[in-house]
Amino acid sequence: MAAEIIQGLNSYFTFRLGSELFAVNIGHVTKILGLSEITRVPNSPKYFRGIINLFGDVLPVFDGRLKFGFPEVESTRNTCILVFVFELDGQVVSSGIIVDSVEKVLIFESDQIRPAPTVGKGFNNEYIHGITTYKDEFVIILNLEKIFSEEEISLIKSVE
Amino acid sequence: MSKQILIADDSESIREVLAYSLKNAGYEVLMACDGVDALKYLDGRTVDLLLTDYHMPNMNGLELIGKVRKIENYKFIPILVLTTENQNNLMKEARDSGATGWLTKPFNTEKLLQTLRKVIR
Amino acid sequence: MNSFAEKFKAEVGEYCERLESGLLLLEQDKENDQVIDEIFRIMHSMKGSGGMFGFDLISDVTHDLESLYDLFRNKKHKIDSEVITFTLNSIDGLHHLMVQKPEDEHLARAEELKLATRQQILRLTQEEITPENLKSPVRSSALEQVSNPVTYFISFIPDEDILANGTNPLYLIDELHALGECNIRVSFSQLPALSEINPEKCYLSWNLFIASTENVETLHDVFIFVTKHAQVTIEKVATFNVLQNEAVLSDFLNAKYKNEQWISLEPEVQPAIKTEIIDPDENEEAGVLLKSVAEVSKNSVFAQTTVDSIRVDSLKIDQYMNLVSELITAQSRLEMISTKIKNPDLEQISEAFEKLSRQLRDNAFYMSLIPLQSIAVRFKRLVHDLSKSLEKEVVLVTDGMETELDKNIIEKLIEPILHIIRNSLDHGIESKSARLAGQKDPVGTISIKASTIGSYVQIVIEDDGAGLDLNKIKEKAISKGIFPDLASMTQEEIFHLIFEPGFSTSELITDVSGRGVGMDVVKRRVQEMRGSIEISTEKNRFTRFTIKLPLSLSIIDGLLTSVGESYYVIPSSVIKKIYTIKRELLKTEFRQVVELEGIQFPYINLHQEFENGNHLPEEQFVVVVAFDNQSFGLVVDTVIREYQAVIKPLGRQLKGQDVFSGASILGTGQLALVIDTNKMIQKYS
Repeated sequence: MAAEIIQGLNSYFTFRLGSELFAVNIGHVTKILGLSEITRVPNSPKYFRGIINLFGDVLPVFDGRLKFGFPEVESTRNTCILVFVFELDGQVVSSGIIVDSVEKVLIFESDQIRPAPTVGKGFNNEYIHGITTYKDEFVIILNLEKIFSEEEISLIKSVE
Repeated sequence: MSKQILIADDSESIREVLAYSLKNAGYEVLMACDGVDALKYLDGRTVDLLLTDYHMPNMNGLELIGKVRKIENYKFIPILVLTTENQNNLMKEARDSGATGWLTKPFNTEKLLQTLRKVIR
Repeated sequence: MNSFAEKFKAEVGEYCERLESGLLLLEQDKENDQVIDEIFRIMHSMKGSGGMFGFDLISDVTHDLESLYDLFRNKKHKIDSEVITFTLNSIDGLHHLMVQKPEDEHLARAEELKLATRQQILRLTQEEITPENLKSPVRSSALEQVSNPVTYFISFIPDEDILANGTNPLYLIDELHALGECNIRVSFSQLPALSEINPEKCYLSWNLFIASTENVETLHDVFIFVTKHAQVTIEKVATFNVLQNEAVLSDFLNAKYKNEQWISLEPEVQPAIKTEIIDPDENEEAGVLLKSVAEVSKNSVFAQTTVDSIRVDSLKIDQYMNLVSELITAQSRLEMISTKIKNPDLEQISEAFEKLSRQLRDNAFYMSLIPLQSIAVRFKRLVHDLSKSLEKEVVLVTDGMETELDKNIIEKLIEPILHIIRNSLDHGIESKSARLAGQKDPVGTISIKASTIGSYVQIVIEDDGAGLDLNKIKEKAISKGIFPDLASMTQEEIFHLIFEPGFSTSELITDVSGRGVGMDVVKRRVQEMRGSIEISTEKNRFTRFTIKLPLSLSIIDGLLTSVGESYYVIPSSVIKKIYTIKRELLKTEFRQVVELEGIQFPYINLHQEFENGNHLPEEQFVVVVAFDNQSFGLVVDTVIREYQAVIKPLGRQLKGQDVFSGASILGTGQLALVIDTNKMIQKYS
């Protein structure tokens, strides 16, 4: 798949997990898919939901809620898969992440973005690129590269 | 897969202008600053065309060609020598030492690509 | 272009500094040829680059300076202090001429410098300078364009050794094509008997007619690189296009060549300049000969265009495959709807559609696979040529070259395999006398064997040479000082040190396999394809490299099975037998074994491993697979059917696991995981 990361944009794609509003730079987002059948990979970690067929290619899909420490919920009709690209070992890689709902595209100038606060509950601080606000609500801008670049799923021998 | 061209020239400006035109034309470009450097690049790689200057420090273009032709993989690789006008004896010398052809300076992109078409597809 | 001009300016500054220091050195040592060479070279570069970037004055002035220094370089004259001082002053003057749009003042200064240079030359040579040997070259003025096509006859007879210079005569013919309509005939008359053909030589010649609006000079220019290596004649046939008039053409040729036979290329194949032979002579012998020519030329360097294939950008194939996948997904939806509606007409269409799309998919998948055969020629050539130059007698044995691999993998395989062969020839196989002394066959053997094993392709490259020298490797490791812990390493681990960067056992860096690139690069290349490389060796007997490559994009025959809700593919190549089995026959105490037809063997129940053992079905299937010369049972819920699986990589993030070698997209668009049975058994038993 010839995916490309578009750099230097200041538009952000926002989505929700639980009550929190998250954002990723729009240059990383390639597609939004409805929740379709996901093929489970046996004995993989719970936050790794499995793989889907994305136009003839295999796309790994992660559960946003579990990955970021939110409780598991039933999916709704708003639940969808956000497909994004990032760089891993010099190669552009695609992954999907399941989010509760997608919101709108917002523009944040770099001076609107503040560094991440040092305390987060159960949330790895490195994952956050910065924080900003939109209509009195905090928006957490994610650093996708950090979240998934270190990720290498290995299978557990057996689930007890 | 796009063709890889190795440029050997000690002049950075010539290297850059060549690289610029060749990349625009869809080639992949490697750059070496003299013959010794070029040989290092050739080792273990698949280069489709060598474009070398004649006058270079350390190892000149013709010496380089002689060495390249001794490498099994590059026996038949097209090689062009960069020359300046009115150096007819040099062109003959270049052919004799194994060059496929030459490209005379000054050249523009059109002339460069036209010359390449004689030796590579 | 401007940034290039800036770069050039900076470069000129640098050049001037180097000229200055060179000149100062010369002042001390006027016979220093190296410095004179360097000065000449710099002048030459400035001349060439100056013209390129629009600094014509720099170019003009350095042109004359170059002529001056040519006198010293050719040892015709000796440099003296006056010239050195003069040159130093000229260099200062050059700084002022660094303009792209010269004004009168600049022009005058340049003229002054040129004149002074000529005076220097005059002073040294005592000769009158003719305008020819000093004047800047004059470009030939634009030649008039002919508006109506004129028919020319071109005879192009390359020397036999034309290929040695990297010339591909076909490109030249192709270039002519761009200049006008062509009618091309190839002569095979110089072709020797098959056994005497040297693929490095060119035996063909061409006669062609071209109807072109270009002038004769332009046509001659096509052959400019080969004037010394070919006979090219161009004649005017008619002042208009007579290509369609075969009678005129053959009359012309008959008048020229009474006895030779020329084979005309059919117009349709001409643009690609294939050496396809149309209408071979009815004479049978000639027909046979032509056929073998086509075969030989396939292997020779000469015919890089093959007769019966076209080149397609692999990206286009990828796109095509993706489209086919989408088509299949759409088709499965159609099938679902058709089953629901139960309209016989629609069902018929749906069935036909399904069949066609399946065929289309198979077709698309096969397109991206090529057999190893396609690169085997290169290995043979290397062994042939290199063994000769090393004065060793070596035969290359190949097996399984029909094994197919993805085109991209094949391309990346060439270099590593060539390197291994080079090593074997150079360091592995001993000299003839050493082999005789060791009571070995004086003829060495290198073998390349390829086969598909499970979901891998395995390529084994083996030589019957001296083997690796354990002590030498140890010594080397110690002398390099990078592997201090040799004592605790096994013999095998020590042999694998040759894959470490910077490690090379050859004491002499030979032309063949020395110089920097080592086995570490080979290993890296193989790993880049997600493969592995192993080495085994026995002293005085053999060295064996085993490369295993995943079939990342390849097709395997497999068995489609299901466990729980999910689908899994087991490669057919490892499957021995399939049984149905009742739950109570699967023993779980102590050790998981099952007894079938009187034989006991261990098993893994995939349902238990993948689905936590919930809802274990009453009846399951045991798929018996080969594992290390033993039988091993994989228990699945159902066996669906045989299935040709196209394996898609699972993506970088799943690289950490190796139980599943990929996923395959089923006709319905669903995914099935492809099991690597060896890895699975190792992990779960």
